[in-house]
Parts: sequence; C-alpha cells; structure tokens
Amino acid sequence: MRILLLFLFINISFIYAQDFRYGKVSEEELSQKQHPLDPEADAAILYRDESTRFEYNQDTGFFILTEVFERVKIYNSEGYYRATKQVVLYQGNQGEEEVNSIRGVTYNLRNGDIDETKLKKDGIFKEERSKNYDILKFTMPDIQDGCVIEYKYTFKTPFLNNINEISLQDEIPLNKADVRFAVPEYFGLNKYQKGWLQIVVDEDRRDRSIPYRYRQSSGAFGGGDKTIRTKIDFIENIYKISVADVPAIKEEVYSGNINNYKSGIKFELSYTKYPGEPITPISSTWEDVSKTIYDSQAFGQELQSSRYYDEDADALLEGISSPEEKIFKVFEFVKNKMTWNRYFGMYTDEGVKAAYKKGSGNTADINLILVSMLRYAGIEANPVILSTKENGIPLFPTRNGFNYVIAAAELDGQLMLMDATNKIGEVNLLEEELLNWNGRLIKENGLSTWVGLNPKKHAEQITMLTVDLGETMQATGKVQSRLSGHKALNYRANMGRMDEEEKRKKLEEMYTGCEIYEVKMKNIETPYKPVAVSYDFESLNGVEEIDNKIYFSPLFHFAVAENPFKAEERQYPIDYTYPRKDKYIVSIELPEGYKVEQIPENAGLSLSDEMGTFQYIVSQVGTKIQLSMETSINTPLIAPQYYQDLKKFYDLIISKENEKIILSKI
Amino acid sequence: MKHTLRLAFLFLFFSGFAQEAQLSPLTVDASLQENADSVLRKEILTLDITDPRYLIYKNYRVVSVYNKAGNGDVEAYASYDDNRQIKSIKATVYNVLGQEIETFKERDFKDVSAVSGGSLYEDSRVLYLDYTPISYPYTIIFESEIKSKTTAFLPGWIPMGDYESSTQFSQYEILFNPENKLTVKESNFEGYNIVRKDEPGHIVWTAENLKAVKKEYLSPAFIDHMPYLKCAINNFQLEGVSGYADNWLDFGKWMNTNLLQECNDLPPETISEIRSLVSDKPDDEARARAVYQYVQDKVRYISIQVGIGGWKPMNASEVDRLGYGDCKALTNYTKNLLAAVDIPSYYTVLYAGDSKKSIDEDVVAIQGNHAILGVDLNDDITWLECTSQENPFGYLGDFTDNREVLMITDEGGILKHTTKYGLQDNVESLNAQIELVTEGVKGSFSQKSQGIFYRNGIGLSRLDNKDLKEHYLNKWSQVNALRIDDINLDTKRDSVLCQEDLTFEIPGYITEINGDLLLKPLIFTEGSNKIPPRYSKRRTSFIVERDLNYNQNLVYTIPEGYALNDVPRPIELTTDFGKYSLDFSIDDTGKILCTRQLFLTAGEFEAEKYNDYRDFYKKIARYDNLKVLIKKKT
Repeated sequence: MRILLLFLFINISFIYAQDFRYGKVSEEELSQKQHPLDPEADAAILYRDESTRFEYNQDTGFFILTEVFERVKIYNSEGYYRATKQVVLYQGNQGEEEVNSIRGVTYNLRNGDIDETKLKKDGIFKEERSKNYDILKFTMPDIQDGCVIEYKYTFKTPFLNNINEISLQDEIPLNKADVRFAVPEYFGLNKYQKGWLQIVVDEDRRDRSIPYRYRQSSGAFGGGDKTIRTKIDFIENIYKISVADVPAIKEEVYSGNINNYKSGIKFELSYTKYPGEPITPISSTWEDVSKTIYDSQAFGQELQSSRYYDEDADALLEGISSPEEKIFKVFEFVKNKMTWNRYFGMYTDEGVKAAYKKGSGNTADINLILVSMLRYAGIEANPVILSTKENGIPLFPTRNGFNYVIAAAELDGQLMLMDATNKIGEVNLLEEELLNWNGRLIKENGLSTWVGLNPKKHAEQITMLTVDLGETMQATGKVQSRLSGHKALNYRANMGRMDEEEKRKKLEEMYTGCEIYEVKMKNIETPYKPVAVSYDFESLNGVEEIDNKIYFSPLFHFAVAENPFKAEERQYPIDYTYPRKDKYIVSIELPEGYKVEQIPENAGLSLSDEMGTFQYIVSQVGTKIQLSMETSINTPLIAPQYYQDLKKFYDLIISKENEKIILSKI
Repeated sequence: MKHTLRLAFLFLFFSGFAQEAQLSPLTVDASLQENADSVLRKEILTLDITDPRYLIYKNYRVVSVYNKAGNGDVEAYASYDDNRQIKSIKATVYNVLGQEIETFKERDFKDVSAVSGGSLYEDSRVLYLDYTPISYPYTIIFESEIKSKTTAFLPGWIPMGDYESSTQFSQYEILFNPENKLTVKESNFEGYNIVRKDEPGHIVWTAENLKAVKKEYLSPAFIDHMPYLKCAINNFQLEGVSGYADNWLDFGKWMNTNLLQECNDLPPETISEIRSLVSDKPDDEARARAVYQYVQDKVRYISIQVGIGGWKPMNASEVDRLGYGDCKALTNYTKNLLAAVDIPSYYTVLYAGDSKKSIDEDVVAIQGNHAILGVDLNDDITWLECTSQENPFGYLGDFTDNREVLMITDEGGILKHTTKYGLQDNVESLNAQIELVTEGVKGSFSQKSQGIFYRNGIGLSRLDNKDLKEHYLNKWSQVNALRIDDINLDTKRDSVLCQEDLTFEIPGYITEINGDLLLKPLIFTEGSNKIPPRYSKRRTSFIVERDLNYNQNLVYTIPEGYALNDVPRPIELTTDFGKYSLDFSIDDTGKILCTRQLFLTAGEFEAEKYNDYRDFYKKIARYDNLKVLIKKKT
C-alpha cells in the first residue's frame, strides 16, 4: 500500500511539477501552443528567479550582486521582441554597474527532439549610449514560434542607495517567480509593495562570512609586511517572495501611468550600522527622505546664497510692498530670465549661480532660484518635490520616487504653486505632466508635508454660437469662446506661436465639417487672463434638406462625435487630472418661411455623486432657437466600477448633441 | 513678426560694428525671413577627394534661428566611427545683436551612440551640440572637419536645406583628381540663383538668396523639387575597400565581388535540407514559394551594423545559425537558399519608404537604404521582401513598390523597376447586408482588400481579438454606440487578398420623425472622404502617390410597412483627381441597394489645382453624408 501511494505521488508530481533549473526545459513547455490562462498572450514568462546579495570588495566596499534567470515561452512572432533583452547600466562617480556571465539557450522542438542553440558572443552588444549610460543588449538565436528561451546573467551595482524595483508583473503573463533578497545585518531595510497582488515575504536569517585580508608589519627589524587572511562573520537577513500565475498588465485610455498599478516590490536601505559604529539612518519615512534631499548639496545648499542675483532682485522689487505683487514679479522675472534645457531633476545640474549667469538650466536650477529669490523678497517660500506622471506616483518613501521640483509660496494660508520652467505657466497652473497626486513641501528646518497638486477649480470653456441659416440653407455663424485654467493652457501651448493662417488651419482640423474665417485670439500669449477665441464659420454639411424639410443639429461642428471609452471593461481608475466644464449658448435665427416642426427634448444627466453632469435646454423664442448646454466632469479621478456608467454617460451625451431640429415650410 | 520695430532698433545700435551687425539675425533681408524659422546665412562645404582613399569634408555654417521650430536647422553635429574621424568641431553662439555669448569646443559637444531606431546595434557615434537657446532670434556658427575612408558616396548639396528655411549664401566646393572622373548631377537648379565655376580638378557652386518654402499637405519630397546636387567618382573607396566603376554594370560587378560573393557560404546540411524540402514541388515557382516560406518561418529581422557590415551582408552560414539578420543578410540568405535549388535570384538595393524614391541612374555610387531579392521566374522578376514574416510571395506593398532599383547580377548591376500597383490592383471592396430594426441597424460587413490595401490586413493580423475589436471601434469612432461581433480576419496569402468579416449593431442609428425613419445609408466611409486642409494660397504642387479604388455595395432590408418613396438621384463626379458615384435603387423585394464607387488617380498636380482637389473631397463628404427618409406607408 505504501509503495502504491508513493508511486501515485511520484506519478502526479511528474505530471504537474516543472523543473525550473537552467537547462531543464521540458517537451511539454515546448509543445504548448497557447497560454492556458491567457490564450491571447504572444509570450509568457514561465519562470523568473532573481537572487540578490551583498558582497564586499576591500578597495571599494560593499556592492550588490543580483543573479537573474528567466525562462520565456514565445508563442508567435508578436512575442519575438522578448528574445532581445536590454539592461541599462549607469556609471557615476561611485563606480559603474555591470552585467556579467551572460548565458542563454534557445530551445526548439524539431521532429520530436529538443534542439538547443546557444547564445554566443556575436549576439551580445554593449552600446555606450552617453557619458553616464551604457546599454547591454543581447538577442537570442534561432527564434521560432513556440520556442522557449532561457538566459541568465549577473547584475552588479555599487549604488547601494538605488536598488532597482523588483517587478512581479509584466506585459505578458508571469507563471512563476522566485525572488530572494539577502542583506547583511549592517544594513536596515525597508520593503515596499505595490499593485493588487498579494505578496507574502518570508523572512529567514543565516550566518555568513566574508573573507578579509590585511597587511601587518611583521616586526621591528624590517622583515617586511605580512598579509593576514581572516574572515568577518555576520548574520544575513534573507527575504523570500514567491508568486504564481500573475496576469499580464494592459494599457487603458485615461489611466495615467500604468506602472502605478503594476505589482512589484522594492527594497531600500534605511540605515547602516557597521560594527562598532552608531546607526546612520538613510531614509525610512517621508520625513527622512525629504530631509535627506534637503540636506543635499545640490538642493538645500543652493537656496542659501542670494549674492548672485541680489542686484537684479533689488531693482525688481524696488518700491513694491504688496507680498502678492512681489510673488508675481519674482515668478515672471525668473520665468523670463531662465530657459529650461529640457532636463528633469530635483537636484541642480549647473548649480544655481552658473545657471543664472547662463540663463538656462534644469528644473532644479531654475525653480530653486525661484524659491531663493522669493525668500529674498521676504515671502514664505519653499520647494515642493514631486514625481512627473511619466515617472509614476511616489508610492513609497524613497528619494528616487521624485524627479522634479517646483516652488510654493504661502500667502494668507494659501499655497501658490509655481514652475518657472514653463514660459506660459501661471501661478497654480502647472503642466498636466506635473499633476501627479501629491508633492512634498520641504521647509527650511527640514520639516516636510504633503501638498495636493491637482487643481480644484474647473477648467472651463464657454462658447457662444450665433447661427444664421440664411436663404441658401448654408449655415453661417459666429463663435466666441472663453477658456480658463488648463483649457487655456492647452490652447496657449498649441497655438501660441502660430500665425493667423496656422491658427485657422488648426481650428479647421479640430472642428471638421466647417470652414473658418476671421480667427481672432486674445491673450493667447499672455498668461493669467482667459484666452478669448472668436471666428466666423460656414458649415459644410451641417444643414440638410430632405423631403422639403430642413434638418440640423443645433451644435453644428461642436457636437461631440466620439466616445473616448471603447473597451468593454475597465480595470484602472479614469484619470481626468483636473475638473472640467464645457458650456455652450447657442442662438439660431430661423430662415424666413419656415417653422419648427420638431425640436429635441430637454435633458439632464448626472453620474452618481455628481461626478459628471450634463444639461441640455432648448427652446424657441420668436424667430430664434436657443440652446444652453453644459457638460462637466467634477471628480478628476473616477473609480473603475463607474466605468460602464461613464461610458453610457458619453453615449447619451453624443446622441443628444447630434439630435436634429427639423424645420418645415410654413 | 514685428520687423519694423526690430529694424529701427538695429539702426540705432549697429552703426560701426560691422562684424556684429553681420551676425545679427536682424540684418537678414525681410524677404528671406518670410516663412522662415531659420536662415542659413552662410554655408561653405568643401569636399577634398584628390586622394580617392579619403574624403576630407569641411563644413562651415552660419545659421540665424528665429524661433523654436528653427532649432533643428542648426545641424551642429558630426557622426563618426572607426573609418570616419572628426578632425575638428566647434561652435559659437551670438545673440540678437550679433555679440558672442557662448563658445563650444570639441569637449563641450555631447558624445553619444548613434543607433538608429529599429537597430539593435551600430558602431557609429555622434558628437552633437546640446545648446538651450536662451532667447530668439540668435545666430550660431558651426564648423567641422571630417576625414572618412568612404568615397563610394559623397555628401551632396541641398542649398535650401529644408522647408521653412531660407538661404542667404551657400557654397559647395569639390576638389578632385581630374584623372578620377567626377560625375555631377544637378537637379531643379532652374529659376534659382546658382552659379557654377569650373577649373580642372576644382568646381565651385554658389547659391544666393533662396527664399523659404512652407511645407503643405501632400507637398512633394523636398529634394524632388528643390535644388539638389549629387556627385560621384569612378575610383572610390568604401570603408577602406577600394573600387572602380564608370557605369552600373561595373559597379554591380564590384559590389558582387567585394560585398556579396564571400557571403555565399550556406552549410551543406541546410543545402540538402532545402533540396529535400522542395523535391516534390512541380515547378520553379512552387519551389521558390517553398523557399520563401522556409525563410519566413525560420528568421526574424534584427539589425546590426558594424564597419563594412553596414554595406556587406552577414554570411549566409551565420544567418542559418542565428536565425536573424538585417535586410542585407536576409536577402542574401534567401538568395543562397534559392541557388541551392537552382533558381537564380539577384540581390537588389533600393530606397524604401512609402513616399517613392528611385535609385538615381545618373550617379553611379552607393545609393539606397534597403535590400530586397529579385527572383528570376518565368522570364520575369518576382520581388521578395525578405525581412517580412507575413508578406505573401512576391508582394511588395507601399514600402518598395513602383521605383527604380539596382539589381546585382553576376554580369553586373542592372537598373530595374519594381511592381506598380494600379487601379485594378488597389481595390477595397465592401459588401454589407443591413437590416433596420427598432431605431437602429444591424448587419453583416464583408470587405476585401487587395493590392496596396492588403498591407492593412498584415497589420490587423498581428492584433489579438480584443485589440482587433478596438481597432474597428476606433476606425468607425464617428459611429456612436457601435457594437461589433463575430470578427473574422483572413489574410489569404496565396491570392494576396485580405478578407474582413464581422457583424455589427448600432442602436439609435435611425431617427424616427413623425413615424418616418431618417437614415444615413453610408455608414462606413471613414478615411476616403477626409477633406484636405484649406490654404488661403496654395504654393507647392501636390502629389497623390497611388491609384486607389474603393467600392461599396450596401443592401438595406427595411421593415414591413415602410418604403423609400423618394429614391435619391444618381450622383456622378468626374475630375482630374478621380471619379465618384453614388447610386440608389430598389429591388423586387423592396430592399434598398446603395452603391458607392470612388477612384483616385495618382499624379503630381499643380498648386493651382489644389482648390479643385479640395472641392472634390468636399462634395464627396457631402454626398457621403446624404440621408434618406423611409416613410411609413399610409
């Protein structure tokens, strides 16, 4: 009986257990035609093993070594891109990152046999991208539909303060991953998790030793030095994570940066405690992180001096006493004086003095000058560090979570956020790329606090439309729009530098189905005031005559034609970034000899909690038809469970906006 | 631009500072600033090829930049690799008054790898000026000198630079050994102020005051209608490999001997494998098809360009082992496989891209940016795109169609023309059965795409079901509340025909008016009726690249008790740009038949014709939008 059971057991494990050792690719894996859980997948990670440990070099100190091993199944040619791997390697003053011991094999099933092709030197390349970055690339040989590839390499980095996030989710399914992270007792560690995946971290410890040698003078009589070989014993803390069957992560519209939702874990050093030395904290809370950043030479130090600009500032501020005016003066001055060199960063690059002299610099160069100059003017001003949308939401307290710095002035308890790198920016009107959740405001004493970045006020567009149907049934009319907030900012960014002809063409591109004349734009290059747009138009197909009756939509070219949400389902929140409102006031003069036969019904719509609202009111007043319509999104971040409602909301708005008014002959 | 103000400003400050005044962007004649983001103030290009082993190329350029869009015209960079050395490079920036504000030496230039998009690795690098202009306008002087071991192709001269840029003065000077014959090709020089001065071994061209042209919708490629000079020498060198050619035949021979021949080393096992694979095939075409399929199954495109490898294919044996290569490698590999089964084929170089560009017959030199294979079948050439794993046998598509190419045979180089896809080939034809249901429509959609249109099908075949559905919803984004189901995509490779079938449903598509039904019959006309942008005054001619043929047959079933009383009159438009017709009829069973045909004619048309062209589309858009009222029978 025992034997039988054992036999059964072995049999079962033979069927279900896979061998994840390098080189042990099975026929089952090779013959698999599609992924069992995600049949649409072009490739899948069958197994990933990432094992990290600290090593010691007597000359350069501790460094981190990660052994990576991946087994990837490629189902079809759309998954071939997975056969090429790229690793970005940074090099700085403290040393450089390296990839070593690359090995790889491609497995194909040919006539029932497993055919192996090894990765050789001619498939490995190192591109020296720039002074600071190299890119190690390799591409696997003999890639066929259905093949399995395996590769492994070691990644070595001396940058203990910048440990890469360990990804536990990918654009393709991940069947199984094992992560091991071992760290000597000298280092305190923070662990941060993100994504929806339940991640269980097993902790363990063991004794470990590192060989160590030193030279010792062998005596007073010149016997020469002697090398003493010994070892250092310490305890190593080990963290282990195992995940299985993690589905692929997929892009969706209006979801911001998809990486925010991707499951992963990040380790970061929080302190060091070398034998016989006190604990040195590195960063463990948002407070610590902020303070560490502030204390850096290329940050807080840069706020100290005012000598390089004091004459300019004195001249600028002479005779001005109102703090509000001071803030505007200084902001506009720095905005005009400095040009952004397109480099991001929360640390200065040139240094504020050099940047000021040159007139250009990175984000930190420019906005730290702004903070410093505001303080010089007697304003309570502080830097706010943040992470751009591209960089993702700073989910854990790490310094690398931030990549940008702006200025905040405080006046009567109100915060005024400013980014002097954007020439068309305003106080409290930051580029969308920066409106990523919260920023961290750091005060002079190093204390810090969160500040919300997303605007509370609606960005508005109010449009007056007067239309004359005329005798030829060619609708002509006048449009006057006023735009505020981000709607104005977008107009400025798109059309600020265009000549009249280009502006007209751009409008005709935005609003198809009409020809536009006499375009006038006010305040298009002057921030702070609403952008005013006016033009005449002639609708091309807006009015139709069928069976002696006249049909038209009262919104003409403004009728929205497309629902932005097409997917049937939704996983991530819908991120509008800022509240918005569109309002139309339409007045249509009826042609002589016609009467209104049919007019759309009034309508009102509202998403739950008024997250979005829509109102449509139409009526005939004498010889005029008047319409007032307003659409607003009041909640910038809408949870995915409201997706179907939101999709329906747009469908209804679109069909309402395209509803026709019908005129018939009297 | 506010010239008057700036000019006044200028006269106030500039008397007496001749040098600064010269460099100030404000001293440029107003007519050159018109339509210009930048003005090339002075350019002196010197090519020294007196020693055919080397090209010494000096570039001196002074550019005034008036706005952000002009920054790209500064072109302060130089590329280098093992065979191409930068001897010197520097730049100086001047402000609006022509005063020096910053200088850049070689070490101030950024040194980065120049791996182009789509390439995995290349050995070339570039030094470029990473300058942030602090105000506009400004002027920059850039100087560089390069020594290269390649004279098999020489930098040409485009005195106008690009659209939206004027040229005040540009000079192109070439020093050569008169015994080494120099070929010069001047294109589109007429009507421009260009002077040529010849001396033995020395020619100088100068151009002055060329006014900027704005790029417009469908404008021809810049170098196709702007002054362009190309040249070549008989005795040349390519990355250290020397050659001689006076004509394409000789040039082809040289290529064959120096770049291609030694790459023909297919391993014997592969030769016997491919022979047995085709052994049961009845004829050469079937054998060639089998070989092409073998290549498509086995290899993938990976681009690696190192040294002479930028011009010479990777060996056939390496492609065989690695299962990848670039266009040269994969073309040569396919050629070797075909040779193994005794089918002759020829390595062919050309310019790829959907805007057509031909190998210039008059300039015998290295040209082109891509390689395909010409297979000798039935006394004709069948072209194979060897980098594609999806293309049907002999299918080129808009990437390489209808252009002059250089085919390398054992006898030498021969110029050939690739397949042209005409009106008979480029057909997109749609059949739909549509039923009117309560306030909406539902139906089946079936579309066949051929010729150039087939390429869309290749793109679609890469999508999974969910993405395919989204593709259709985006394609018909103007159709609100559209639902799509039962998608079936069939890219029939043998007949080069892509068939798309699906069913759809559009609730709310029909408006009920007093019991009658208002319907816009043409649901799926996206793309073919887009009205071209309007210009107050069109300046450049415009190009329609290909003949296209769209046709639609829609059959509407209407509910019992309804009828279309007023059948719209047939519409027919005939213009130089194409033909459009829309026709309605009612069959015996009361179904409405709607037929739409649109032929577009390829050609280059004068600027004056642009408004007519646009009117044609305006009318199409109007007719496509036509609505019918289906009345309730009383």
